[in-house]
Amino acid sequence: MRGGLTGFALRSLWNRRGSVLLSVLTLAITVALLLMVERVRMETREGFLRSVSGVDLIVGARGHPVQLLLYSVFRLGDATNNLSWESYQALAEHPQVGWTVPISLGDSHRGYRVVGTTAEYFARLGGGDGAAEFSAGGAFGETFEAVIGAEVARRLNYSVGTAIELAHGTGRINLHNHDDRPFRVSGILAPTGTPLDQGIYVSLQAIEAIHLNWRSGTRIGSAPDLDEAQLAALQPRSITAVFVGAQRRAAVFSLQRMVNGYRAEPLTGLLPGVTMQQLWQLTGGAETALRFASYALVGCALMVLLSGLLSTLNERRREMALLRAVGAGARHVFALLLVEALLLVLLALLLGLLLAIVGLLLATPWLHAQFGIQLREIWPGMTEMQVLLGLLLSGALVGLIPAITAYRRTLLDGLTVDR
Amino acid sequence: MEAATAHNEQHALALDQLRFGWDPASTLLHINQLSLERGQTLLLSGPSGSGKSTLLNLIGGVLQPRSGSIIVAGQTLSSLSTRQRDRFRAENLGIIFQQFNLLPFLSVVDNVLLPLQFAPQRRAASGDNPTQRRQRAEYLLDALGLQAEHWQRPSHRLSVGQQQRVAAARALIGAPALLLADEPTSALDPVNRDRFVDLLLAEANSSACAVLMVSHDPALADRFADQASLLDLGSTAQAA
Repeated sequence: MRGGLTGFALRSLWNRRGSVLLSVLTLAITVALLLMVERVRMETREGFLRSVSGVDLIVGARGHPVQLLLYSVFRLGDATNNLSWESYQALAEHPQVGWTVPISLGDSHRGYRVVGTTAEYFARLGGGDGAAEFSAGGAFGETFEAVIGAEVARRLNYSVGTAIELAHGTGRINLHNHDDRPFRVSGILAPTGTPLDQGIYVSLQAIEAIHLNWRSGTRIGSAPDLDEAQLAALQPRSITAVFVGAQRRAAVFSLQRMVNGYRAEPLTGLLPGVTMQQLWQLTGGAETALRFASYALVGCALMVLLSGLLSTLNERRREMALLRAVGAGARHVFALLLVEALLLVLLALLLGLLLAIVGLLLATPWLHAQFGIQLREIWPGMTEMQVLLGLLLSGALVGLIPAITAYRRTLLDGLTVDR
Repeated sequence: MEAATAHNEQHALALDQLRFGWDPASTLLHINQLSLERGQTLLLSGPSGSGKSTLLNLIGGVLQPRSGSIIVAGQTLSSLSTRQRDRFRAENLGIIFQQFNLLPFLSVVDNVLLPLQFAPQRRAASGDNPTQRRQRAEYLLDALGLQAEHWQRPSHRLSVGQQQRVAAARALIGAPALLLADEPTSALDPVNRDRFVDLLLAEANSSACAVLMVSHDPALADRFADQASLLDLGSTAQAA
């Protein structure tokens, strides 16, 4: 029956499709869940790394590196302290420094953070391997021009030329608006799936200009009218953080040492990759719990499948006795049961993979809108294949149980089932 | 496998000094002498618990006797390995049970063709290609009184009498040396029973297949060449 064994198992399964389908579906759903969790996890990490690729060092006021990373890169939380313009200039002129991009945070527009920076920002922190791409317009040229991220443009339905007002502070509802200094959108960035998409970018001078008539967080009078030359001459007194590219990669560590031991002002310099690892250690617990939970679910579903297979064994004793009577050996019975289990697991894995792909396709817009996670790759990669292979092996191990049970029982029953 | 081809041996079945029991102190089955030639028919009676299913398993090579010998189609079973006995059973035995003879997920014709999966020689004997073998199965079903309209139906939709005809066709396909039937008529009414046994014996005779049927039904006695009681087979010989 060698050739016909699989066909035989298929026909037998089809005959019991009602009860079998349910456990296959259960397994498929849990497999899909596991695959989706893995994919989102990997994509999230990759997206995080992408958002700082090319940056060798991030410098801010003395504080915890993870906090500095969170507010400077992910715009989460606020800086407790700034660093002085003098320190920034000293850093920028350091011989081992290749390039610097300063940022100044603290303002917002309808919940999106405003980043005061230089035009070099778009060349260095493009959210990928190279420079940022503009889907419309270009970088800010005049002082009161702003570049907006893809998500900002999409959600607020802005286009090049739209006038926007910035708000003081980072709250979603804000009483203090810089309504005396409206900005004009000069460019819109192409989507990257990184925090780049959620920012509004203006020049450092613009940040200074809108705060000229501000003292201690409140506005006094109206902003003085300055011409473009006067505006360009405005120099910030302090900034929030600096992204640094080293002259040579090997110089990164000595630069970091220099920053952390800087005499004039307490500073923190972090290596993005290292601090990202620390961040993942912090979030790793939840991540591990989620993975563990999805593996546990798959385990449960395999148990459901197993109990389904075992519960039918008793009803199928006559079937086995009949097969023995027409010449099947106990090993044929063993093989039949194992092949049945493998077919079910294989079907569940394929179905699960399909469900995962459909699920990810459906979840992509939501994940992006809700968490800024952009899934660049939905089709299964090596990791998924390894997971699926592992599950197939587990399925084979689970299938051994009914196969061994049936094998032993058929040896006892022989050709007749009396009881 | 040379042993399996011994179709031309005189004896389809020969039991000699056969004893079986799980526990050495008690003997569940005891047969001193029993033999059947090819084409011969024997009706064996015996009350419940007299070891009918044990005998079936012993002749089928699934159980091993404590002592004595079993020869089927000229082959001593004890000289074969477990695998060889499985193959030997497939090639040389046709078995009909009291009930539940068919696999529910196979069609009627596929149920008949089932033993050929395990028995290459019977497969060759029943036709050169799948079409011929299918025709052979249909011929047997027809000869045993199951009309063509039932052949493609799922087997669980048949009546018990129809199912037994399918089981008989399966037992006879490819002309095995010996047909074992374990009370195959117990669920049939007298008219169906007689017709079934007549057709079965006629078809077995035409392929020189020996028939050993176990049944309590005395009404069947005159249709068989020989009769014996399972209880007597042990004690008669002891007395003799």
